[in-house]
Amino acid sequence: MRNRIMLLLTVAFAALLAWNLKNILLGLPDEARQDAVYRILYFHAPAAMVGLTGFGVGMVFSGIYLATKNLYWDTLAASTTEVSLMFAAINLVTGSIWGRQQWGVWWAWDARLTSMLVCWLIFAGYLMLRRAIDEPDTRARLSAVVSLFGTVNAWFVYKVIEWFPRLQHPGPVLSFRTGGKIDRALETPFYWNVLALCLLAVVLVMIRMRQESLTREIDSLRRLAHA
Amino acid sequence: MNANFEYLCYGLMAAWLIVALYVLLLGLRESKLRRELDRVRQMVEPRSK
Repeated sequence: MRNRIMLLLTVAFAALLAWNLKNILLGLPDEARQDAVYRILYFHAPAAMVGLTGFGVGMVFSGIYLATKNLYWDTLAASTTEVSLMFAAINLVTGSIWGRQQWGVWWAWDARLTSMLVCWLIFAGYLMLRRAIDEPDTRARLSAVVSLFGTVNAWFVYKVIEWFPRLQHPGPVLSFRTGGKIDRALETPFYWNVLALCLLAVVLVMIRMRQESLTREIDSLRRLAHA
Repeated sequence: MNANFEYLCYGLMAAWLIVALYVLLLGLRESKLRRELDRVRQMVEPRSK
């Protein structure tokens, strides 16, 4: 059943992405100042949205673990965080490529870029911490603390372009933050890409969870073998 | 080729390369786990007979 759901979600992701990619690359006009390169932002920003939201969702799962002490929630938190870290990496790399073309530099140490990098490093540290601790309850408890700390930083990443309007990074563009500054024809494919990346994220988290259940099965068989 | 278009290609390739690398990593991890599961099962089976 789970495999069937994963297959269905993968097909939906691929179909949605292919259709939307055609619209983005062939249907949309070039932007007046940026020409063709602005299309990178249709992946750069959705990757950030999925990544930062995933960090928050991971923190919620960690919170549920702390409340229930059920390790399933800790595993779900770790899987969600790992997948979110991949989306955050996409955001950083594609942003750097866009910045090289638009600003002439690969990187600028402004508050938005730096806080996103710090956020990525915190959650990379979260995964390293998990590998360093063998005892499941201690690992889950400490991971939850790092997740909370990282998610506060993720919230800062989201808000910083409103708090510091004179950054190298552009300010908010989407209509839900500006009240309708962007043309709907340019904005709609953006949300389709957010949905496509969300579907991909769910599939990847499901694969990670399947691997975690394999790990649990191996551990219980090992205990049986040594009993 | 338009330099602008060149950077668009780099951006899209980089994004999908990261996804591909992660999926590859997941695939490798899963096959390693399945091999390990088979090995531990073989270890346990003679005991349960």
